Amino acid sequence: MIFKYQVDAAAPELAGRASTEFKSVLKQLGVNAKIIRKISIAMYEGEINMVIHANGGEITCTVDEKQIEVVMADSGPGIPDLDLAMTAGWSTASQEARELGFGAGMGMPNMKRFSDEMDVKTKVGVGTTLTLRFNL
Amino acid sequence: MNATSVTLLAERCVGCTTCIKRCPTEAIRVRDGRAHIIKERCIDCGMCIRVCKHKAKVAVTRKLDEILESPYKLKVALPPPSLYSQFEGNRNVNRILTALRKIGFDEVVDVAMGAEIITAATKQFIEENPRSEIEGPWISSACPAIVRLIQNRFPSLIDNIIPLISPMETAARIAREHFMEQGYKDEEIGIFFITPCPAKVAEVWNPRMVEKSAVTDAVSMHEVFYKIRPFIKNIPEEEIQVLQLCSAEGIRWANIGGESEGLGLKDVLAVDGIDNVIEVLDQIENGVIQRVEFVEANACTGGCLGGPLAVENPFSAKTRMKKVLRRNENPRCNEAIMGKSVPVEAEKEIEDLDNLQLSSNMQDALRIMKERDALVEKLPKIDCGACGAPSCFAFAQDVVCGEVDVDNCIFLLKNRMHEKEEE
Repeated sequence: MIFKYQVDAAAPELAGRASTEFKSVLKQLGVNAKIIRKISIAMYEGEINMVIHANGGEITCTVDEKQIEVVMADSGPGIPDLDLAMTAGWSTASQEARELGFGAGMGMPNMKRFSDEMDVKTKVGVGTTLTLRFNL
Repeated sequence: MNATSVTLLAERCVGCTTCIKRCPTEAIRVRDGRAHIIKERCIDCGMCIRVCKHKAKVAVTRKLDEILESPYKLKVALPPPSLYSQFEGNRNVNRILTALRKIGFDEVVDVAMGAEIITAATKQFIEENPRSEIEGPWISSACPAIVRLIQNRFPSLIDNIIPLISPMETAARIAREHFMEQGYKDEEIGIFFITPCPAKVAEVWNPRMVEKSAVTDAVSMHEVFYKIRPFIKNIPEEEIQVLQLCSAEGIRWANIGGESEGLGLKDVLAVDGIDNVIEVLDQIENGVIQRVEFVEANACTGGCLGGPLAVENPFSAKTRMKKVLRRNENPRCNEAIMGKSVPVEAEKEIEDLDNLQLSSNMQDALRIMKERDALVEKLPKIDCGACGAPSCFAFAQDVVCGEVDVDNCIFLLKNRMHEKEEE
């Protein structure tokens, strides 16, 4: 089953809503609590990234009995140096975003840490598609 | 025995939609013109007791007269510190405790002492068990409504709950041990907690962290308040006994923030009010609140002194509590009972209640979800409550799960009648 969520960068106060909604779906499906926790944290990080770096986008979650896949696609600026972005503590977040408590530079490293598989496709000026997979 | 304390008085219920909408776990439905509590989902927070205009929701507790006439050889009152904030003009804890003996309790054991012991145990536990950022903060186990909320709605946070028993349980264990040392048999001792909330009653009947509670039963603070109030005013100074067992250190637990204050930690978060707690727990699940070491969460606004069975409103109680705390920095205490040590570690793991799961089979759960979401699209989505469910979403789920007929939606029914007319 597929669940789609729009992430609207113009409404940063709603950031986190997709993660919370999908979390509720996972609870209803009876997914193991520890896996839900990992998915929530990773998806929340991604959702926040889409808001502060990429002007929003779309999250598509696919659930089957073996795996959960979370695809976060945006048409933002893209990531020029992916290795750097994967480094803990490195951030390009604006001062404004940091004042809101974002931009600690743990987003990408945490997503990798909490997922079983992470795949990033990014092109400067075109956008980024981040795929996270979690085994059930 | 009943698993929950919150109960409906059917004869008072008019079947309005107030409680179904305010229940934080959506545990109430109106069927056949009156409310029904879904016991498995009820966390005994008492929200419905507060909001019901018809007083149709009550907390079942043991009646005071029944306790005082019970055959226990030794009847022990277990007053929580929230009681000390209830009496206008009185800051003397010993005066309140003496009044409890005047109405017929043989002994009084101050729960604030248990709070002080749990503060020390919590401090040590957190020092010995630091949390990584992924695990998130430790969460206090003191509010039983919150523990049940986590079991019901946030099972991924069960491992964050500190596995220590409550101040109430600690005080009851000490009381039992002390009076058994004095020659009473276990079964001769009746220990009665004066409760500010239904959640504590349920915790006595059906404990989540110990096999069997050392507390015999619970009596409503409301009932005890009116019984002891005349005595509080009239006890002459020389008749006041030294019964207090703890200073402000333990008493401040009655206030939200009081529990964490004594821990001496750098990063603590204290949250009160069930909706605020839900928001914080959601953030912990999302990994947003990671660096906090300890979360104190109380279902009631203001903390225990704002419990649904307390008499005073939480804001007046809080103001009065400040004065009580100032006066009790170094009070006279009954040292005969103090200094005892009892085990405070949880005896069993907290269960995951899995109440959100639609089916034990994921394919089946997905099917239910699909059908439900399709039905939601046909509903007016104004959450009017006329069907008896708190929202169109909840109604759709009830329909798909076969609990209620779709014709209970008056909007769908109206549409169908129009269609028939057109035919």
